Amino acid sequence: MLTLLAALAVGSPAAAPASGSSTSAFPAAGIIVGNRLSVRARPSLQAAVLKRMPQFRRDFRRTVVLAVAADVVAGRRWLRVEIPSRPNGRTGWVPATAVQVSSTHRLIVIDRSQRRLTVYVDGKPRYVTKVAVGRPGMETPLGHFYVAAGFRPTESFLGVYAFETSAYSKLSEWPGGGIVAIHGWNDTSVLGKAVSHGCVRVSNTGMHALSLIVPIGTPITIKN
Amino acid sequence: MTSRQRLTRLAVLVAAVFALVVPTIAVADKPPPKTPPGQTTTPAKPTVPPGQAKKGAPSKDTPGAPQNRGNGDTANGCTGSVKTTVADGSVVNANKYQIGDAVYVSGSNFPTGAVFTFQVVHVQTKTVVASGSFTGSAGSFLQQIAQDPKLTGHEYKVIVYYNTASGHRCHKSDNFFFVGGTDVKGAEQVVVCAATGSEKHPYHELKLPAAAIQHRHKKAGDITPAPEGGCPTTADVKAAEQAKAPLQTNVGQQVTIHVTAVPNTTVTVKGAGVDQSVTTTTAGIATVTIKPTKPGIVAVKGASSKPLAMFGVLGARSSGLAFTG
Repeated sequence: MLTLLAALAVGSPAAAPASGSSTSAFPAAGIIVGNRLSVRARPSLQAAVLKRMPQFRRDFRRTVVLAVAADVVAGRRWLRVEIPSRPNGRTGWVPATAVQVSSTHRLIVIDRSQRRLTVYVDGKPRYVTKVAVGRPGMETPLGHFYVAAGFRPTESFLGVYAFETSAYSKLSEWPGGGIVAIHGWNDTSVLGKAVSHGCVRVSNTGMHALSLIVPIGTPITIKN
Repeated sequence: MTSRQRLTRLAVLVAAVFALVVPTIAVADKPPPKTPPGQTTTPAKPTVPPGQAKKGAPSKDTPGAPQNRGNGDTANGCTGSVKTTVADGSVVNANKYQIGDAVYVSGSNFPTGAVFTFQVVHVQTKTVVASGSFTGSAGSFLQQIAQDPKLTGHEYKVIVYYNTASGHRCHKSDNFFFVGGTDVKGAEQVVVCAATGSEKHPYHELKLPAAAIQHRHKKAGDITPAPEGGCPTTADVKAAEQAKAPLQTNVGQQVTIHVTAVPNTTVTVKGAGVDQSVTTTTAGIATVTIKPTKPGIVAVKGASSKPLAMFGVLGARSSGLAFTG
Protein backbone atom coordinates (compact mmCIF):
# COMPACT_ATOMS: atom_id res chain seq x y z
CA MET A 1 0.00 0.00 0.00
CA LEU A 2 2.90 2.34 0.64
CA THR A 3 3.96 1.84 -2.94
CA LEU A 4 0.38 2.34 -3.98
CA LEU A 5 0.09 5.60 -2.08
CA ALA A 6 3.51 6.70 -3.18
CA ALA A 7 2.24 6.24 -6.70
CA LEU A 8 -0.60 8.58 -5.90
CA ALA A 9 1.95 11.18 -4.83
CA VAL A 10 3.78 11.23 -8.09
CA GLY A 11 0.96 10.12 -10.37
CA SER A 12 2.71 7.06 -11.71
CA PRO A 13 0.79 3.89 -12.47
CA ALA A 14 0.17 1.31 -9.79
CA ALA A 15 -2.05 -1.70 -9.64
CA ALA A 16 -5.52 -1.16 -8.27
CA PRO A 17 -6.05 -2.85 -4.93
CA ALA A 18 -8.48 -5.62 -4.16
CA SER A 19 -11.40 -4.70 -1.98
CA GLY A 20 -11.46 -5.21 1.73
CA SER A 21 -8.79 -4.74 4.35
CA SER A 22 -7.35 -7.06 6.94
CA THR A 23 -4.34 -5.18 8.26
CA SER A 24 -3.70 -5.47 11.99
CA ALA A 25 -0.93 -2.91 12.47
CA PHE A 26 -1.84 0.75 12.86
CA PRO A 27 -1.80 3.42 11.72
CA ALA A 28 -2.75 2.14 8.31
CA ALA A 29 -3.43 4.26 5.27
CA GLY A 30 -5.35 3.54 2.11
CA ILE A 31 -8.25 4.29 -0.16
CA ILE A 32 -12.02 3.96 -0.26
CA VAL A 33 -13.38 0.88 -2.08
CA GLY A 34 -16.97 1.92 -2.84
CA ASN A 35 -18.38 5.15 -4.24
CA ARG A 36 -18.85 6.74 -0.83
CA LEU A 37 -17.68 6.03 2.69
CA SER A 38 -19.92 6.76 5.66
CA VAL A 39 -17.91 7.45 8.81
CA ARG A 40 -20.01 6.62 11.86
CA ALA A 41 -19.90 7.67 15.49
CA ARG A 42 -19.76 4.08 16.70
CA PRO A 43 -18.88 0.76 15.10
CA SER A 44 -22.46 0.06 14.05
CA LEU A 45 -24.45 0.49 10.86
CA GLN A 46 -27.16 2.12 12.95
CA ALA A 47 -24.81 4.74 14.41
CA ALA A 48 -24.95 8.36 13.32
CA VAL A 49 -22.97 9.31 10.25
CA LEU A 50 -20.35 11.88 11.14
CA LYS A 51 -19.05 12.40 7.64
CA ARG A 52 -19.46 11.02 4.15
CA MET A 53 -16.27 10.78 2.16
CA PRO A 54 -16.34 10.26 -1.63
CA GLN A 55 -14.11 7.76 -3.38
CA PHE A 56 -12.82 10.57 -5.58
CA ARG A 57 -12.24 14.17 -4.62
CA ARG A 58 -13.32 17.12 -6.72
CA ASP A 59 -9.87 17.24 -8.29
CA PHE A 60 -10.31 13.55 -9.27
CA ARG A 61 -7.72 12.35 -6.79
CA ARG A 62 -8.50 9.37 -4.60
CA THR A 63 -9.69 10.24 -1.12
CA VAL A 64 -7.15 8.85 1.32
CA VAL A 65 -8.09 7.51 4.74
CA LEU A 66 -5.96 6.83 7.79
CA ALA A 67 -7.09 4.06 10.16
CA VAL A 68 -5.74 4.23 13.70
CA ALA A 69 -7.46 1.27 15.40
CA ALA A 70 -9.74 -1.71 14.82
CA ASP A 71 -12.56 -3.45 16.62
CA VAL A 72 -14.83 -6.40 15.94
CA VAL A 73 -18.50 -5.86 16.73
CA ALA A 74 -21.12 -8.55 16.10
CA GLY A 75 -18.75 -10.41 13.83
CA ARG A 76 -18.02 -7.38 11.68
CA ARG A 77 -14.60 -5.79 11.65
CA TRP A 78 -14.54 -2.01 11.99
CA LEU A 79 -11.73 0.48 11.60
CA ARG A 80 -11.42 3.76 13.44
CA VAL A 81 -10.38 6.43 10.95
CA GLU A 82 -9.36 10.05 11.25
CA ILE A 83 -11.88 12.51 9.87
CA PRO A 84 -10.25 15.21 7.75
CA SER A 85 -12.51 18.14 8.65
CA ARG A 86 -13.11 20.70 11.37
CA PRO A 87 -12.76 20.37 14.27
CA ASN A 88 -9.34 18.77 14.09
CA GLY A 89 -8.82 15.44 15.83
CA ARG A 90 -12.20 13.80 15.21
CA THR A 91 -12.36 10.11 14.46
CA GLY A 92 -15.13 7.76 13.39
CA TRP A 93 -15.79 4.14 12.42
CA VAL A 94 -16.04 2.45 9.04
CA PRO A 95 -16.51 -1.22 8.05
CA ALA A 96 -13.11 -2.73 7.28
CA THR A 97 -14.47 -3.99 3.95
CA ALA A 98 -15.21 -0.43 2.84
CA VAL A 99 -11.57 0.58 2.64
CA GLN A 100 -8.31 -0.92 1.46
CA VAL A 101 -5.56 0.04 3.88
CA SER A 102 -2.18 -1.23 4.92
CA SER A 103 0.25 -0.35 7.66
CA THR A 104 2.33 2.77 7.32
CA HIS A 105 6.05 2.65 8.00
CA ARG A 106 6.80 6.35 7.93
CA LEU A 107 5.87 9.20 10.20
CA ILE A 108 6.30 12.95 9.97
CA VAL A 109 6.85 14.67 13.31
CA ILE A 110 6.75 18.46 13.35
CA ASP A 111 8.10 20.07 16.48
CA ARG A 112 6.34 23.41 16.46
CA SER A 113 8.54 25.02 19.11
CA GLN A 114 11.77 23.71 17.58
CA ARG A 115 10.57 24.58 14.03
CA ARG A 116 11.77 21.19 12.93
CA LEU A 117 10.32 18.49 10.71
CA THR A 118 11.57 14.91 11.08
CA VAL A 119 10.69 11.93 8.88
CA TYR A 120 10.82 8.61 10.71
CA VAL A 121 11.14 5.35 8.80
CA ASP A 122 10.23 2.31 10.89
CA GLY A 123 10.73 4.37 14.02
CA LYS A 124 14.13 5.75 13.11
CA PRO A 125 14.73 9.40 12.16
CA ARG A 126 15.83 9.47 8.53
CA TYR A 127 15.38 13.07 7.45
CA VAL A 128 15.35 16.36 9.36
CA THR A 129 14.74 19.85 8.01
CA LYS A 130 14.11 23.28 9.42
CA VAL A 131 10.64 24.72 8.86
CA ALA A 132 8.53 27.83 9.41
CA VAL A 133 5.25 27.48 11.30
CA GLY A 134 2.12 29.54 12.02
CA ARG A 135 2.56 32.97 13.57
CA PRO A 136 0.94 33.85 16.93
CA GLY A 137 -2.83 33.82 16.57
CA MET A 138 -2.54 31.55 13.52
CA GLU A 139 -0.58 28.75 15.13
CA THR A 140 -0.09 25.52 13.26
CA PRO A 141 -2.56 23.12 14.96
CA LEU A 142 -1.28 20.41 17.30
CA GLY A 143 -2.41 16.79 17.01
CA HIS A 144 -2.40 13.75 14.78
CA PHE A 145 -3.05 14.18 11.08
CA TYR A 146 -1.96 12.65 7.77
CA VAL A 147 -0.84 13.50 4.26
CA ALA A 148 -4.00 13.64 2.14
CA ALA A 149 -2.52 14.60 -1.24
CA GLY A 150 0.67 15.73 -2.87
CA PHE A 151 1.23 17.83 -5.98
CA ARG A 152 3.22 20.49 -7.76
CA PRO A 153 1.18 23.63 -7.17
CA THR A 154 0.31 26.19 -9.81
CA GLU A 155 1.04 29.01 -7.34
CA SER A 156 4.75 29.77 -7.27
CA PHE A 157 4.65 31.02 -3.67
CA LEU A 158 3.93 27.43 -2.56
CA GLY A 159 7.32 26.36 -3.88
CA VAL A 160 8.20 23.27 -5.85
CA TYR A 161 5.88 20.83 -4.13
CA ALA A 162 3.07 20.74 -1.58
CA PHE A 163 1.49 18.17 0.70
CA GLU A 164 -2.14 18.73 1.60
CA THR A 165 -2.72 17.51 5.16
CA SER A 166 -5.87 16.52 7.01
CA ALA A 167 -5.34 19.39 9.45
CA TYR A 168 -7.26 22.66 9.43
CA SER A 169 -5.85 26.00 10.52
CA LYS A 170 -7.44 28.49 12.87
CA LEU A 171 -8.42 30.56 9.85
CA SER A 172 -11.81 29.00 9.24
CA GLU A 173 -12.88 31.82 6.88
CA TRP A 174 -9.98 31.13 4.54
CA PRO A 175 -11.13 30.34 0.99
CA GLY A 176 -11.23 26.60 0.64
CA GLY A 177 -11.55 26.06 4.38
CA GLY A 178 -8.01 26.83 5.52
CA ILE A 179 -6.30 23.54 5.01
CA VAL A 180 -2.85 23.21 6.53
CA ALA A 181 -0.20 22.29 3.98
CA ILE A 182 3.42 21.36 4.13
CA HIS A 183 4.83 23.19 1.18
CA GLY A 184 7.97 24.62 -0.32
CA TRP A 185 9.03 28.23 0.07
CA ASN A 186 11.34 30.24 -2.14
CA ASP A 187 12.73 32.52 0.62
CA THR A 188 14.77 30.43 3.04
CA SER A 189 15.10 33.33 5.48
CA VAL A 190 11.70 32.45 6.98
CA LEU A 191 12.82 29.00 8.10
CA GLY A 192 12.99 28.59 11.86
CA LYS A 193 10.42 31.32 12.38
CA ALA A 194 6.71 31.47 13.21
CA VAL A 195 5.55 33.51 10.24
CA SER A 196 2.95 31.51 8.28
CA HIS A 197 -0.84 31.47 8.39
CA GLY A 198 -0.70 27.96 9.82
CA CYS A 199 1.02 26.03 7.04
CA VAL A 200 4.41 24.45 7.45
CA ARG A 201 6.93 26.04 5.13
CA VAL A 202 9.93 24.04 4.01
CA SER A 203 12.85 25.01 1.76
CA ASN A 204 12.34 23.96 -1.84
CA THR A 205 15.27 21.60 -1.50
CA GLY A 206 13.74 20.03 1.57
CA MET A 207 10.33 19.84 -0.08
CA HIS A 208 11.76 18.09 -3.10
CA ALA A 209 13.32 15.51 -0.77
CA LEU A 210 10.05 15.06 1.11
CA SER A 211 8.17 14.52 -2.15
CA LEU A 212 10.40 11.56 -2.83
CA ILE A 213 10.34 9.88 0.57
CA VAL A 214 6.89 10.62 1.97
CA PRO A 215 3.98 8.58 0.55
CA ILE A 216 0.44 9.86 0.57
CA GLY A 217 -1.28 8.65 3.74
CA THR A 218 1.79 9.10 5.94
CA PRO A 219 0.73 10.04 9.50
CA ILE A 220 1.75 13.46 10.83
CA THR A 221 2.20 14.37 14.47
CA ILE A 222 2.44 18.07 15.28
CA LYS A 223 3.67 18.70 18.80
CA ASN A 224 5.04 21.51 20.88
CA MET B 1 -3.67 -45.94 -86.19
CA THR B 2 -6.81 -44.20 -87.30
CA SER B 3 -8.04 -41.06 -85.64
CA ARG B 4 -10.97 -43.04 -84.25
CA GLN B 5 -8.56 -45.54 -82.63
CA ARG B 6 -6.50 -42.66 -81.26
CA LEU B 7 -9.61 -41.12 -79.71
CA THR B 8 -10.64 -44.44 -78.16
CA ARG B 9 -7.14 -44.93 -76.64
CA LEU B 10 -7.18 -41.37 -75.26
CA ALA B 11 -10.61 -41.90 -73.71
CA VAL B 12 -9.44 -45.11 -72.00
CA LEU B 13 -6.32 -43.37 -70.72
CA VAL B 14 -8.30 -40.41 -69.32
CA ALA B 15 -10.75 -42.79 -67.64
CA ALA B 16 -7.91 -44.70 -66.02
CA VAL B 17 -6.23 -41.56 -64.71
CA PHE B 18 -9.56 -40.24 -63.49
CA ALA B 19 -10.27 -43.48 -61.64
CA LEU B 20 -6.89 -43.27 -59.87
CA VAL B 21 -6.87 -39.62 -58.92
CA VAL B 22 -10.39 -38.53 -58.19
CA PRO B 23 -11.12 -40.70 -55.13
CA THR B 24 -8.06 -39.31 -53.33
CA ILE B 25 -9.06 -35.74 -53.99
CA ALA B 26 -12.70 -36.34 -53.20
CA VAL B 27 -12.11 -38.03 -49.87
CA ALA B 28 -9.17 -36.28 -48.39
CA ASP B 29 -8.17 -33.05 -50.04
CA LYS B 30 -11.55 -31.43 -50.35
CA PRO B 31 -13.31 -30.66 -47.11
CA PRO B 32 -16.54 -32.56 -47.29
CA PRO B 33 -19.84 -30.78 -47.38
CA LYS B 34 -20.92 -30.01 -43.86
CA THR B 35 -22.95 -32.94 -42.68
CA PRO B 36 -25.11 -32.14 -39.70
CA PRO B 37 -24.94 -34.64 -36.83
CA GLY B 38 -27.44 -37.40 -37.44
CA GLN B 39 -26.96 -37.53 -41.20
CA THR B 40 -24.96 -40.22 -42.87
CA THR B 41 -21.74 -40.13 -44.77
CA THR B 42 -19.64 -42.70 -46.52
CA PRO B 43 -16.17 -42.65 -45.04
CA ALA B 44 -13.40 -44.54 -46.76
CA LYS B 45 -12.74 -48.05 -45.59
CA PRO B 46 -10.10 -48.37 -42.85
CA THR B 47 -6.91 -49.91 -44.16
CA VAL B 48 -5.75 -51.17 -40.76
CA PRO B 49 -7.97 -53.01 -38.29
CA PRO B 50 -9.17 -50.88 -35.36
CA GLY B 51 -6.71 -50.47 -32.53
CA GLN B 52 -3.86 -52.20 -34.33
CA ALA B 53 -1.99 -49.19 -35.62
CA LYS B 54 1.57 -49.10 -34.40
CA LYS B 55 1.97 -46.15 -32.05
CA GLY B 56 4.00 -43.34 -33.50
CA ALA B 57 4.63 -45.24 -36.68
CA PRO B 58 4.69 -43.22 -39.85
CA SER B 59 1.77 -43.79 -42.12
CA LYS B 60 2.06 -46.38 -44.81
CA ASP B 61 -1.31 -45.46 -46.18
CA THR B 62 -1.84 -43.55 -49.34
CA PRO B 63 -1.53 -39.87 -48.54
CA GLY B 64 -4.96 -38.41 -48.35
CA ALA B 65 -6.67 -41.68 -47.50
CA PRO B 66 -8.25 -42.20 -44.10
CA GLN B 67 -6.46 -44.61 -41.83
CA ASN B 68 -6.57 -46.05 -38.34
CA ARG B 69 -4.68 -44.65 -35.44
CA GLY B 70 -4.27 -45.69 -31.86
CA ASN B 71 -4.79 -43.13 -29.16
CA GLY B 72 -1.83 -40.88 -28.62
CA ASP B 73 -0.53 -41.66 -32.06
CA THR B 74 1.20 -39.14 -34.18
CA ALA B 75 0.41 -39.22 -37.86
CA ASN B 76 2.98 -37.60 -40.06
CA GLY B 77 2.24 -36.62 -43.58
CA CYS B 78 -1.16 -34.93 -43.33
CA THR B 79 -2.77 -38.18 -44.18
CA GLY B 80 -6.07 -37.78 -42.44
CA SER B 81 -7.17 -40.54 -40.17
CA VAL B 82 -9.86 -42.83 -38.98
CA LYS B 83 -10.08 -43.98 -35.44
CA THR B 84 -12.43 -46.75 -34.48
CA THR B 85 -13.42 -47.40 -30.95
CA VAL B 86 -16.18 -48.44 -28.62
CA ALA B 87 -18.31 -45.96 -26.79
CA ASP B 88 -21.09 -47.50 -24.76
CA GLY B 89 -19.46 -47.04 -21.38
CA SER B 90 -19.42 -50.73 -20.62
CA VAL B 91 -16.43 -51.89 -22.57
CA VAL B 92 -13.09 -50.54 -21.50
CA ASN B 93 -10.38 -51.74 -23.79
CA ALA B 94 -7.10 -50.27 -24.79
CA ASN B 95 -7.56 -47.68 -27.51
CA LYS B 96 -11.28 -47.40 -26.89
CA TYR B 97 -13.49 -44.42 -26.30
CA GLN B 98 -16.06 -44.36 -23.56
CA ILE B 99 -19.18 -42.30 -23.45
CA GLY B 100 -18.29 -38.89 -22.11
CA ASP B 101 -14.70 -39.11 -23.30
CA ALA B 102 -13.35 -36.41 -25.51
CA VAL B 103 -12.18 -37.17 -29.00
CA TYR B 104 -9.24 -34.89 -29.39
CA VAL B 105 -7.28 -34.24 -32.55
CA SER B 106 -4.68 -31.55 -32.99
CA GLY B 107 -2.67 -30.54 -36.01
CA SER B 108 0.40 -28.40 -36.47
CA ASN B 109 3.04 -27.26 -38.95
CA PHE B 110 0.51 -26.68 -41.67
CA PRO B 111 0.67 -23.72 -44.01
CA THR B 112 -1.49 -20.73 -43.29
CA GLY B 113 -4.85 -21.18 -44.95
CA ALA B 114 -5.06 -24.88 -44.23
CA VAL B 115 -8.59 -26.12 -43.72
CA PHE B 116 -9.34 -29.08 -41.47
CA THR B 117 -12.69 -30.76 -41.15
CA PHE B 118 -13.34 -33.49 -38.62
CA GLN B 119 -16.14 -35.95 -38.34
CA VAL B 120 -16.97 -38.43 -35.62
CA VAL B 121 -18.83 -41.21 -37.39
CA HIS B 122 -20.84 -44.05 -35.91
CA VAL B 123 -19.33 -46.99 -37.75
CA GLN B 124 -22.33 -49.32 -37.96
CA THR B 125 -24.78 -46.75 -39.30
CA LYS B 126 -22.27 -44.36 -40.85
CA THR B 127 -23.99 -41.58 -38.98
CA VAL B 128 -22.02 -38.41 -38.41
CA VAL B 129 -22.57 -37.75 -34.74
CA ALA B 130 -20.30 -34.73 -34.60
CA SER B 131 -18.30 -32.55 -36.93
CA GLY B 132 -16.12 -29.52 -36.76
CA SER B 133 -13.31 -27.67 -38.43
CA PHE B 134 -10.51 -25.21 -37.97
CA THR B 135 -8.34 -23.20 -40.28
CA GLY B 136 -4.76 -22.09 -39.89
CA SER B 137 -1.30 -23.49 -39.42
CA ALA B 138 -2.29 -25.25 -36.23
CA GLY B 139 -5.45 -26.00 -34.35
CA SER B 140 -7.42 -28.65 -32.63
CA PHE B 141 -10.73 -30.39 -32.68
CA LEU B 142 -12.45 -32.00 -29.79
CA GLN B 143 -15.79 -33.60 -29.31
CA GLN B 144 -17.28 -35.38 -26.38
CA ILE B 145 -18.79 -38.75 -27.27
CA ALA B 146 -22.39 -39.00 -26.21
CA GLN B 147 -24.55 -42.05 -26.50
CA ASP B 148 -27.20 -41.69 -29.10
CA PRO B 149 -30.08 -43.97 -27.97
CA LYS B 150 -31.18 -44.46 -31.57
CA LEU B 151 -27.86 -46.01 -32.54
CA THR B 152 -26.93 -49.62 -31.99
CA GLY B 153 -23.32 -50.63 -31.88
CA HIS B 154 -20.63 -48.69 -30.18
CA GLU B 155 -17.90 -48.12 -32.67
CA TYR B 156 -16.97 -44.64 -33.65
CA LYS B 157 -14.26 -43.34 -35.90
CA VAL B 158 -12.76 -39.97 -36.48
CA ILE B 159 -12.12 -38.80 -40.00
CA VAL B 160 -9.87 -35.86 -40.68
CA TYR B 161 -10.17 -34.01 -43.96
CA TYR B 162 -7.47 -31.60 -44.95
CA ASN B 163 -7.01 -29.10 -47.75
CA THR B 164 -5.53 -25.71 -48.37
CA ALA B 165 -6.56 -22.90 -50.62
CA SER B 166 -3.00 -22.80 -51.95
CA GLY B 167 -3.24 -26.36 -53.09
CA HIS B 168 -0.90 -27.68 -50.43
CA ARG B 169 -1.68 -31.30 -49.68
CA CYS B 170 0.67 -33.54 -47.82
CA HIS B 171 4.00 -32.62 -46.39
CA LYS B 172 6.54 -34.57 -44.37
CA SER B 173 6.50 -32.10 -41.50
CA ASP B 174 2.72 -32.00 -41.27
CA ASN B 175 1.49 -33.56 -38.12
CA PHE B 176 -1.69 -34.78 -36.53
CA PHE B 177 -1.99 -35.97 -32.99
CA PHE B 178 -4.88 -38.08 -31.83
CA VAL B 179 -6.02 -38.79 -28.33
CA GLY B 180 -9.23 -39.78 -26.70
CA GLY B 181 -10.82 -42.09 -24.22
CA THR B 182 -9.03 -44.54 -22.00
CA ASP B 183 -6.36 -45.13 -24.55
CA VAL B 184 -3.88 -47.09 -22.52
CA LYS B 185 -4.60 -49.55 -19.75
CA GLY B 186 -4.29 -47.74 -16.44
CA ALA B 187 -3.22 -44.51 -18.10
CA GLU B 188 -3.58 -41.49 -15.89
CA GLN B 189 -6.35 -39.14 -16.95
CA VAL B 190 -6.13 -35.39 -16.50
CA VAL B 191 -9.18 -33.17 -16.42
CA VAL B 192 -8.66 -29.93 -18.30
CA CYS B 193 -10.84 -26.84 -18.50
CA ALA B 194 -10.59 -25.77 -22.12
CA ALA B 195 -11.49 -22.15 -22.78
CA THR B 196 -14.40 -22.08 -25.21
CA GLY B 197 -14.71 -18.38 -25.82
CA SER B 198 -18.37 -18.59 -24.88
CA GLU B 199 -19.77 -16.17 -22.36
CA LYS B 200 -22.50 -18.58 -21.27
CA HIS B 201 -20.23 -21.60 -21.12
CA PRO B 202 -16.68 -20.28 -20.68
CA TYR B 203 -15.00 -23.67 -20.14
CA HIS B 204 -15.46 -27.13 -21.51
CA GLU B 205 -14.33 -29.96 -19.25
CA LEU B 206 -12.05 -32.43 -21.03
CA LYS B 207 -10.69 -35.70 -19.75
CA LEU B 208 -7.41 -36.38 -21.51
CA PRO B 209 -4.64 -38.91 -21.03
CA ALA B 210 -1.74 -37.31 -19.19
CA ALA B 211 0.51 -38.10 -22.14
CA ALA B 212 -1.72 -36.04 -24.35
CA ILE B 213 -1.36 -32.88 -22.31
CA GLN B 214 2.15 -32.14 -23.49
CA HIS B 215 1.17 -32.59 -27.12
CA ARG B 216 -1.93 -30.51 -26.93
CA HIS B 217 -1.80 -27.04 -28.42
CA LYS B 218 -2.60 -25.14 -25.27
CA LYS B 219 -4.92 -22.29 -25.88
CA ALA B 220 -4.49 -19.21 -23.72
CA GLY B 221 -7.02 -19.38 -20.96
CA ASP B 222 -7.07 -23.16 -20.57
CA ILE B 223 -6.83 -24.39 -17.00
CA THR B 224 -4.72 -27.52 -16.60
CA PRO B 225 -5.55 -29.39 -14.49
CA ALA B 226 -9.13 -28.40 -13.74
CA PRO B 227 -9.79 -26.99 -10.25
CA GLU B 228 -11.13 -29.43 -7.65
CA GLY B 229 -14.53 -27.78 -7.70
CA GLY B 230 -14.82 -28.16 -11.47
CA CYS B 231 -14.37 -25.71 -14.29
CA PRO B 232 -15.30 -22.09 -13.60
CA THR B 233 -18.79 -21.02 -14.58
CA THR B 234 -19.80 -17.67 -16.03
CA ALA B 235 -20.59 -16.46 -12.52
CA ASP B 236 -17.14 -17.54 -11.35
CA VAL B 237 -15.49 -15.76 -14.24
CA LYS B 238 -17.52 -12.61 -13.66
CA ALA B 239 -16.63 -12.63 -10.00
CA ALA B 240 -12.95 -12.99 -10.87
CA GLU B 241 -12.96 -10.19 -13.42
CA GLN B 242 -10.26 -7.66 -12.80
CA ALA B 243 -8.41 -4.81 -14.39
CA LYS B 244 -4.91 -3.60 -13.81
CA ALA B 245 -5.08 0.13 -14.10
CA PRO B 246 -3.26 3.05 -12.50
CA LEU B 247 -4.72 4.65 -9.39
CA GLN B 248 -4.43 8.00 -11.08
CA THR B 249 -2.83 9.60 -14.07
CA ASN B 250 -2.48 12.95 -15.76
CA VAL B 251 -4.09 14.48 -18.84
CA GLY B 252 -2.18 13.51 -21.97
CA GLN B 253 -0.39 10.64 -20.30
CA GLN B 254 -0.70 7.30 -22.08
CA VAL B 255 -2.00 4.51 -19.91
CA THR B 256 -2.30 0.81 -20.64
CA ILE B 257 -5.03 -1.17 -18.90
CA HIS B 258 -4.90 -4.95 -18.68
CA VAL B 259 -8.25 -6.67 -18.24
CA THR B 260 -9.11 -10.24 -17.35
CA ALA B 261 -12.81 -10.82 -17.89
CA VAL B 262 -15.42 -13.08 -19.43
CA PRO B 263 -14.18 -14.37 -22.80
CA ASN B 264 -15.40 -12.57 -25.91
CA THR B 265 -17.05 -9.85 -23.91
CA THR B 266 -16.88 -6.14 -24.56
CA VAL B 267 -14.72 -4.12 -22.22
CA THR B 268 -15.46 -0.40 -22.17
CA VAL B 269 -13.19 2.36 -20.96
CA LYS B 270 -14.98 5.67 -20.54
CA GLY B 271 -14.36 9.05 -18.96
CA ALA B 272 -11.88 11.94 -19.06
CA GLY B 273 -12.35 12.30 -22.81
CA VAL B 274 -11.89 8.59 -23.42
CA ASP B 275 -14.54 6.32 -24.96
CA GLN B 276 -12.99 3.07 -26.10
CA SER B 277 -14.11 -0.53 -26.20
CA VAL B 278 -12.38 -3.80 -26.99
CA THR B 279 -13.43 -7.42 -27.00
CA THR B 280 -11.65 -9.90 -24.78
CA THR B 281 -9.96 -12.89 -26.34
CA THR B 282 -11.24 -16.42 -25.98
CA ALA B 283 -8.96 -16.53 -22.96
CA GLY B 284 -10.78 -13.52 -21.51
CA ILE B 285 -7.88 -11.12 -21.86
CA ALA B 286 -7.91 -7.59 -23.23
CA THR B 287 -5.44 -4.74 -23.27
CA VAL B 288 -6.53 -1.16 -23.79
CA THR B 289 -4.23 1.82 -24.22
CA ILE B 290 -5.76 5.23 -23.62
CA LYS B 291 -4.67 8.84 -23.55
CA PRO B 292 -7.09 10.97 -21.52
CA THR B 293 -7.70 14.41 -22.97
CA LYS B 294 -9.24 16.14 -19.96
CA PRO B 295 -9.45 15.75 -16.17
CA GLY B 296 -12.08 13.33 -14.91
CA ILE B 297 -12.69 9.79 -13.79
CA VAL B 298 -12.11 6.81 -16.06
CA ALA B 299 -14.24 3.71 -15.50
CA VAL B 300 -13.31 0.28 -16.86
CA LYS B 301 -16.25 -2.11 -17.25
CA GLY B 302 -16.45 -5.75 -18.29
CA ALA B 303 -19.38 -8.17 -18.18
CA SER B 304 -20.22 -7.24 -14.60
CA SER B 305 -22.27 -4.15 -13.95
CA LYS B 306 -19.76 -3.08 -11.34
CA PRO B 307 -16.72 -1.25 -12.72
CA LEU B 308 -13.57 -3.34 -12.74
CA ALA B 309 -11.46 -0.29 -12.10
CA MET B 310 -11.83 3.46 -11.73
CA PHE B 311 -9.11 6.04 -11.65
CA GLY B 312 -8.77 9.78 -11.69
CA VAL B 313 -7.19 11.83 -14.43
CA LEU B 314 -5.60 14.96 -13.01
CA GLY B 315 -4.96 18.28 -14.69
CA ALA B 316 -1.42 19.19 -15.54
CA ARG B 317 -0.99 21.08 -12.26
CA SER B 318 -3.10 21.57 -9.18
CA SER B 319 -4.00 24.64 -7.21
CA GLY B 320 -3.09 25.02 -3.57
CA LEU B 321 -5.37 28.03 -3.02
CA ALA B 322 -7.25 26.19 -0.28
CA PHE B 323 -4.10 26.30 1.85
CA THR B 324 -3.54 28.98 4.43
CA GLY B 325 0.08 29.21 3.32
